[in-house]
Amino acid sequence: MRYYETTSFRVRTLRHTFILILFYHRPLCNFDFSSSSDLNLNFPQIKAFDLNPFPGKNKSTNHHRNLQYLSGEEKMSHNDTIPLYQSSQSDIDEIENMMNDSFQSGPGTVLPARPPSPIRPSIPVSSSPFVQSNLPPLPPSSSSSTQKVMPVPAPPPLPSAGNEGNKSIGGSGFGSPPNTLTEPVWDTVKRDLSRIVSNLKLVVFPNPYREDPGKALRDWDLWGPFFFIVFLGLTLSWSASVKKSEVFAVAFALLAAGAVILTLNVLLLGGHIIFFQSLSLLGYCLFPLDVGAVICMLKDNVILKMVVVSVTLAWSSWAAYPFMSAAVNPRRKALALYPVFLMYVSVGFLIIAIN
Amino acid sequence: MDPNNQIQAPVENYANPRTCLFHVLFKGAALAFYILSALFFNSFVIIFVVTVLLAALDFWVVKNVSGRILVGLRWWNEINDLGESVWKFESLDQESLARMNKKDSWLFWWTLYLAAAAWFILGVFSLIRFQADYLLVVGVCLSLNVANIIGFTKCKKDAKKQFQQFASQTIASRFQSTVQSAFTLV
Repeated sequence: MRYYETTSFRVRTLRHTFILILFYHRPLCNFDFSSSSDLNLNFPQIKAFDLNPFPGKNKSTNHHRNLQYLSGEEKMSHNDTIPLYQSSQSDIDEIENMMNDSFQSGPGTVLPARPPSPIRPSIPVSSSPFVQSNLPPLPPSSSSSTQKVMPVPAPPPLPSAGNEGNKSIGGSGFGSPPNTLTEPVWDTVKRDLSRIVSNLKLVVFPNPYREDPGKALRDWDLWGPFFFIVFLGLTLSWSASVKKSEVFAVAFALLAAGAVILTLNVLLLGGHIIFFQSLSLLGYCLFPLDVGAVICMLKDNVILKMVVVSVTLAWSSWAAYPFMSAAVNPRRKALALYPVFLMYVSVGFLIIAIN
Repeated sequence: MDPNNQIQAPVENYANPRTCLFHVLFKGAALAFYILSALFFNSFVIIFVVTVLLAALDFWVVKNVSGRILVGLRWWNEINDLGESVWKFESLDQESLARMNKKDSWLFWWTLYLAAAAWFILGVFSLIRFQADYLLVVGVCLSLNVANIIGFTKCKKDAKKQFQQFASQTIASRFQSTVQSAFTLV
């Protein structure tokens, strides 16, 4: 649930920012005629957003589903301010056409800014074809109202509506976050660190997605696995009295190759799994064994070692169980889970045996 | 304009010298430490940990910082609600990409290719001397560099594709508006 909210927040934020900046496109053009250097710096960011609506390399099914999702958000956030979306909410194909014709939807947001008389003389003549091209998507009543508005140069009620639109959008515009292309470096670092922390919590604490394992480690990363594998190798090599390099190389090779082989095993069993997500999960599940290795390094009692390794081994297996079991057919679950358990048992034996 | 162009041409320099420095710093540090480590350290553990850590830092810096500052591109991998892996690409628009500093872009792409070539050569040397453990180091570093090359190459192609789509949309919009204005006159 938390990840779902995170995803929706990201999509909603980007969509919200996109609509806001489209609205600001016209005033910035007006200022651009005065050749202000400060405003020219903001111009590339606006054009960067203009490229976002174009579909990348997604499949058609994903494209449709994403469109449904976006339309839902548009209902929630812009139900009153933009009546244009109400007419097209019922039809997915029409939404797809609007997504493809996103350049035409730009003038749609410019319409509220047209009625004020001071702004009208500064609008260039080249913008009029887009306004005319905007007529077909509008309903008949909207088109008739637009035709009525066109001949009137300065109606009294419309300027106030334009001002209200400016105020409301301006108020909400200050809080919009920047694009990831132009964000500060510190924001990037913070986002990655928070991702690592949240992934670690999924393994250490009881998994909130245990009923839906597919959502576990959706934001995968390889920093955690890298750190845990290196940490385990270092701990084992420090514990070893001789052949430190060989112990480290064996530990690293066992874990790295083991993770790759386990993932290929699931794929060969016909399971639906993503390669790097699986590597990430198996790496994070090493955290309990890392703790066990540290305890065994500090204590020299063999019985205590066996108890600690058994507990941490059970913990790692318990953490990895829901994800690996959900990835394959229920009848082949044992075939997928046994190698995982075997790898963790091998790591446990390494921890116990090295003195 | 000609005198200004003549004056500005030799004065042009790296637009982001600090980012260029960090872009090269971690690559150079990883390669230098791996090559020179045989002279100072006799422990494989130290060589492995430091080199792979520097390579990972280089991967992160190139992917998240220098890529978007020097060439205006960024890529990452996401998992959607269906549980499928999706590649995401972000790029500035064509005008901003054209405005990028040419020296920054040149440095970015050439150091990316040269680093991968260097690791490949070092891997061949390790293979010749039958050092499987050092081949492990080279394998990790080469994988990270190749991943960055593939990611940014796809990102660049995606940017060009989006620009072509944008141009097509603009032409279609103008054509439609022309036809509609003709009907309106009739």
